[in-house]
Amino acid sequence: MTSTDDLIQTLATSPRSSARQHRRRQGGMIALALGLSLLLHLGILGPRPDLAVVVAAPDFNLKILLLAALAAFSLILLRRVSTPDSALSPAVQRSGLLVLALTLLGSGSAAFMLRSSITPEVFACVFWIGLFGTAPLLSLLWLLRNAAPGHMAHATHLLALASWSCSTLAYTLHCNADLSLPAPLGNLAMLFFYLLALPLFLAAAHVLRPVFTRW
Amino acid sequence: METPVDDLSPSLLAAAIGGDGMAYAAVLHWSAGRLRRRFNRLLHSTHGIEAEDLVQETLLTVHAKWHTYDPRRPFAPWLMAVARHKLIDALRRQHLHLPLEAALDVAAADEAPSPDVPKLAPLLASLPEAQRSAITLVRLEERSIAEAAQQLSRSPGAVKLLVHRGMTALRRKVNP
Repeated sequence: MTSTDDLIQTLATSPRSSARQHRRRQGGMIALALGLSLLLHLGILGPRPDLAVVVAAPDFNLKILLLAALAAFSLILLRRVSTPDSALSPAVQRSGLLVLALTLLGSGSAAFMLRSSITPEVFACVFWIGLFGTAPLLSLLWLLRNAAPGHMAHATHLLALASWSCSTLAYTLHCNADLSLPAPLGNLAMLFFYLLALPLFLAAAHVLRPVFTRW
Repeated sequence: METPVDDLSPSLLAAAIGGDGMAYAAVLHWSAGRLRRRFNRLLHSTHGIEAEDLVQETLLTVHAKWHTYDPRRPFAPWLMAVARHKLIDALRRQHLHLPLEAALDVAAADEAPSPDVPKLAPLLASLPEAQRSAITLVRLEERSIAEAAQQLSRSPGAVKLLVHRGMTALRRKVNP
């Protein structure tokens, strides 16, 4: 092994990537995650036929807004925890868990109230969100691979949440299963079934993150 | 040869970030000195890991992950976070566990300028008396649970609980 001084001289003359390049690459990976989600869901499954009409419905917009907010926050936080000296503060962790718990509780209650109208077809969302979610999951794994997360558990959970929310956000533009459910709780109830896919992402992130993002 | 500076000059760091090879070499020399002191202190009783090997391994990682350093934040905590990661990796390779005091010591980076990276002693001092005593006896002085329980006049189960709660509180303080 070379001496430390020799190593330093070698490193000093070797090329190294800058923070600006890194930020640009991260932005590219995030755009790819979102873009691939939209491409797969809308390109293969297609947008819901009444999309132009439902975009005016407040309950549909609420669902979209919630998912978009989850995607934005999880992507921002994923970037933040991708450095060695960063981790989520307890306040942020608590807030995130509270939002997820309230979403699960609210949507679960809606699904329970509408249980007599629910058909087995609604469970298709778990399959499609999970299947097409592999694209954002791999893009964001690549983002982490180029970084150096210091807190692995935080990185894993955010990787799962960000991939799920990107895939779900795109799927929402296709899914019209809420039509068979009475308004205004139909959209909220569908959110519960979307959430059933989240454990798949958590499991995949737990398996893949240590394999691909060791540094 | 180490750069004879105690504190890393912001202008030197800025020049290194800007692509100046000489400044970058100086930053690496400064980092090597800091890492060497840290690893020598932590690894003196741990067999199978050479501090200098770990210094070099950490410098390689610093170079490979240089782009993840955010210039708006202090450099030393970032360096020590990389060091901690490499130390844990090395200990795992040797099937050793990172002692709490070592993990806290590395993470705390006691000479770091950042006020949010505190020393171990103030961290311990902030714990309730019972938790502090239990951690000092069991984790720092490596007494058995039974010995600590006898000294603290508590049951072994109560001592385990105090250590667990104290450790959780310390981790929260180190990584808020």
